[in-house]
Amino acid sequence: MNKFGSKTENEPVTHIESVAVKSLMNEYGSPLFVISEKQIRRNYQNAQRIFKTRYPKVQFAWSYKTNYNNAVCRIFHQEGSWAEVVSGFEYEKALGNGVSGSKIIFNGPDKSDKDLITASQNGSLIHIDHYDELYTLIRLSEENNLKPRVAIRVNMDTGIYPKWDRFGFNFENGQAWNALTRIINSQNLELVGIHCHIGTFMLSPNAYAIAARNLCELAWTAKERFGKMVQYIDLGGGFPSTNTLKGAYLPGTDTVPSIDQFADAISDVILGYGFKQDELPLLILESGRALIDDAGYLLGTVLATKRLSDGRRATIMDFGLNSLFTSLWYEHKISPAQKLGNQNEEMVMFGPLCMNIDVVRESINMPMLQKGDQVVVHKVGAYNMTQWMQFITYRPAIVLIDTENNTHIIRKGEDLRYMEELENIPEHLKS
Amino acid sequence: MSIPKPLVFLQKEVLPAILNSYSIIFFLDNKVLASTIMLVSFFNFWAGFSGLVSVLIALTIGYSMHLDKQTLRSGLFTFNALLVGIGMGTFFDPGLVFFSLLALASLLTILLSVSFSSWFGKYKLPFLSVPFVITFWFIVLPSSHFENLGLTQRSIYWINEVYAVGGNNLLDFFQTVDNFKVNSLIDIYLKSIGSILFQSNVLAGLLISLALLYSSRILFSLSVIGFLSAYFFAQFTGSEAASINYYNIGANYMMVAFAIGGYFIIPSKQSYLWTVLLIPLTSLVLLFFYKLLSYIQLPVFSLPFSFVTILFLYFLQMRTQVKSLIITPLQQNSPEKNLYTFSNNKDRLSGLYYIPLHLPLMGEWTVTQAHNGEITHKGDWGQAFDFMITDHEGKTYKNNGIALSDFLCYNKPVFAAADGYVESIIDSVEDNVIGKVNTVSNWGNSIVIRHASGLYTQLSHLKKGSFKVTKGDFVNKGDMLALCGNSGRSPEPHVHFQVQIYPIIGSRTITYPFAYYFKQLADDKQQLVQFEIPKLGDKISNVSIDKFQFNAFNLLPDSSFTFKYTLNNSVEKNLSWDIYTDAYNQKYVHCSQTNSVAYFVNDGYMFYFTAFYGDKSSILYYFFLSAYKIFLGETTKNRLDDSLALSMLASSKFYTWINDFIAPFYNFIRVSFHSNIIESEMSLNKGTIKYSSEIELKYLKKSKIISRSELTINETGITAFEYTNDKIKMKATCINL
Repeated sequence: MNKFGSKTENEPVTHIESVAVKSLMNEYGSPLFVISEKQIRRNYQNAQRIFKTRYPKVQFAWSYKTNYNNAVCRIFHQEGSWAEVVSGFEYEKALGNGVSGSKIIFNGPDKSDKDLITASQNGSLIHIDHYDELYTLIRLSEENNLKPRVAIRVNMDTGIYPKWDRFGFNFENGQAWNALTRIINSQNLELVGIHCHIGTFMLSPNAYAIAARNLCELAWTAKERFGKMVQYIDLGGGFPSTNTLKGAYLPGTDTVPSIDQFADAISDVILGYGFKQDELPLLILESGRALIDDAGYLLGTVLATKRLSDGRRATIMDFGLNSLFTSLWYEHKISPAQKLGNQNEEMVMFGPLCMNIDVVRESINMPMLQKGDQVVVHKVGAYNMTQWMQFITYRPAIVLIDTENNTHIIRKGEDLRYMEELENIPEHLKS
Repeated sequence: MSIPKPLVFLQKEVLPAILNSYSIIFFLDNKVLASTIMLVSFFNFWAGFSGLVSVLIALTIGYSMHLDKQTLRSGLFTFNALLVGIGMGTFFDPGLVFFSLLALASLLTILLSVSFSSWFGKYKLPFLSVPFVITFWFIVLPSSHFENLGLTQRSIYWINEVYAVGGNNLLDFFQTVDNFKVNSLIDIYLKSIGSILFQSNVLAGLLISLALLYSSRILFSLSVIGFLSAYFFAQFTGSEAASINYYNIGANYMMVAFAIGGYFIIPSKQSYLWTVLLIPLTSLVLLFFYKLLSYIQLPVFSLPFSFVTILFLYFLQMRTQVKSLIITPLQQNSPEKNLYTFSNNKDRLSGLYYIPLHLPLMGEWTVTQAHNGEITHKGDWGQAFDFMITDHEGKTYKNNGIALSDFLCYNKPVFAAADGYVESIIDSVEDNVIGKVNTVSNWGNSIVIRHASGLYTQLSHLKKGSFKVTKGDFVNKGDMLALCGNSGRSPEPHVHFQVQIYPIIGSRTITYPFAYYFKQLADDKQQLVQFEIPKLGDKISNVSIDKFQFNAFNLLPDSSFTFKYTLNNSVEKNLSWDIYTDAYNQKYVHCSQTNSVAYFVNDGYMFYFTAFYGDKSSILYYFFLSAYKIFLGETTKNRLDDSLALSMLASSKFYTWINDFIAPFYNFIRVSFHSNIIESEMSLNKGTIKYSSEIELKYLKKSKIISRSELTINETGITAFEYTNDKIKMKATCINL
């Protein structure tokens, strides 16, 4: 951006980590998700460095829902990340990726009795979301002679809108303290931490400072009253990536605070709270989006172009809302994958679905794309590969470019056999 | 405490005391040597007998008068009595008067030994054979008045003795050996070594020298060096007739060689050189005493040896700087052990001499100016560090580096390097804009912390108003002090750190290492650095304590450690060790079954053994080798390397003997130890961590793993360990801690 406003960037992106976009699509088809292992590791190490220069004990836990492709998860686990899961399905996936039970954080409102028992037996960190879960867990622990390691999720007013008060126990009205007391006084539950997750795509570091202060207050009070110091404070995730939110006046790269600013806000509060050096709690972070968004690309091809009734140009892509779910929230940056003419035009970019809502970008300034031209959508690593829809057509393949720039297919494109595998035709409909 | 039964007492206290009285004559505590000396002393039966009797009398007095048991067991109080006994048995005829006189002599010797040990001990000096010499004077001068005490000629006609003991066969054997055509030098050498026990014959010398070779290669080579230099010096000066006889070579020159070359001083080329220099001096001293004492009809015996040795040791202690000729810090009664443990500990235990200081930073920082740096670290202020944060490209700032906040280190917290009191704070200097310096308030905002009297650390160029502590506060290691700023003589934000002996801000700096830190290597790996001084460009980060591991290795005094073990698939047995603290507050594990001890340190970052004494086939010894050094910081899979003294290995092989001979000059065998985490299933305060370790022998260019171990811990402590070498397979599972 300069004083004349933000410039239109239409530099062609012909290579991702020095692998040609054209050859990727030739080999693996279009559309195609591409993930850069190098970028993931760079992001992780950068975040780790940022926090470790400010706070002595930091642990990241990979948020499975952000992208639970096994290869992706394993990159994070190799870097030392624990797993943060929100369902029995994700829990099993984490175990399958070789994460030991004691390094899995189990969040969310939906944990079955069976999930709770397994998680307790494995020594996982169960973050209790509501009283019903607390009572269930107390009952299960008595019935099955379990010693679950638990934390509570706390919600609070950090001055941001919307207030996420549907998860966990409220701080301001005393629910959180009440739940903590019940856990400490229970026979079997071991209180190991306190958790909060104040929102997603947070743009205010100060909100984290408030959250950290509130959690410290709970930890401090528990220590003073019961002489028991919790072992960790989990501030959840929510750090934004540099994507531009819809309706934002300026692009995300210019407005989104850096991870440094969040780290400063958080560590200043905890270090300054007054804990003794050796009782400082471990700081757990469940960052997802900020660590993977810019490591993911979606490659696609122009199916057709046309003029709309009002004269606007429209470009129809072979990917749409079905694969690029985040186009609901973001104005994704899209680059042509080959050199095109210098003339740009404002256009609508549609997906291939036979549905009116399938719009990738309502308005984007792009060169005159023609049928068969290829594009690269940036920063799509988070949520797309988990929230994508199997609707009307198959979901695309995912390719990983490793640190030596070799490509590996880490999820095949779907086909008819895969789609019909779970279907069952009653006898009377056969023949 | 139960009173030891008489037999146990005899076996555990008296027997070692007797044996040590013999071997300590040669500065060793070796049973083979002791038995050989005892055997040789009985070649002259009455001499041997009265020697033993004299030791027993002295020991009886010692135990009944409650002298220090440890010292009695070491033989230190009684070896002079042995010398007196053998001497008297050699020169006087046995009989009732003789034995009563022997008893008195023993009494006098132990009185003198104990007194001298205290008088000389104040000056950290040994009393050597002074009590023997003095006691003998007390016997010799009045002896002419004891009419019933006969002076004997037996030691001259020792053949009669041999005949009396073993008849013709033994006599023939002795004479065969004695007449064996050997080089005359060797003949003199052997007779000299035998004459230390007043037995100048080849067989005695041969046996003792073989036992000496077996017990210590260094002392054996010193005996040869001592002998040769004495012999050639005497030839050179023509003083052979007066100064060279078997006894003098053995009891004076060789003894000086033992004491100076290898026992009281860590064997080295300097100690060998001084041995060669001091022997002529001993010869001079000897001739002087010989002339002087002959006026009053007193024998010189080993007085010159004691005189020269004590004099030289005292002289050495007065040095202000010790670079060579190191006085043996901990006497282990074996020059090999002394040498190997000293040279091994010199590096690996150097940290024990420091109050540990840690990096005053969190996360990875780069040393942008080190000691005696190019920019400002000069002269008296040379031993300082400047630290900044760099990104992966080596840049210290983001954006274009115009604003203070562009600098990665700006606003980062700084911490106390160790516990201490805040001595002074300056907090009134504004940050400079980038590129400008403030030469008026040179140090900028600074803090000085007193860690001990004479040990201060200073941090400078901090941000105004960012101090979290005030003057007089006590701070703990790692407490946050302030934020990095750009005040004072600082064109760009950075942290200046220095160690000084005075409390004034900007005092002269001293060189002082950081205890433990990680250094980033080129290949993305981290290297653990211990007690070193970071260099320019090093990317370093602090090691954080892992309480989980610390607790597991936190063996508390007055607790015990019980486990069951199998040795080479034997039946499972139970064993228990106790943890104690000694008077110097050093912790050790004690195995009462084998009477072995292993000293250890757990400083929060590292668990390591500093010494092991006792039975090298005990389970404790295997544990000592398994957990010789374990890193307790954050769980990295990095390998930790350490070295082990060669003498710590259980068996000595041919090549170790060869090494012993040249070890004072060059050590061609190295024993190294490696440990690392092989499995870490640990989160928060629960789980298990498994370590593996190995001992590697490196000689010439070969290397060989000689043993492997595994050790497992969980939240309750050490849970299992196993040790395997080519002969032993030991597995232990802990029952409780």
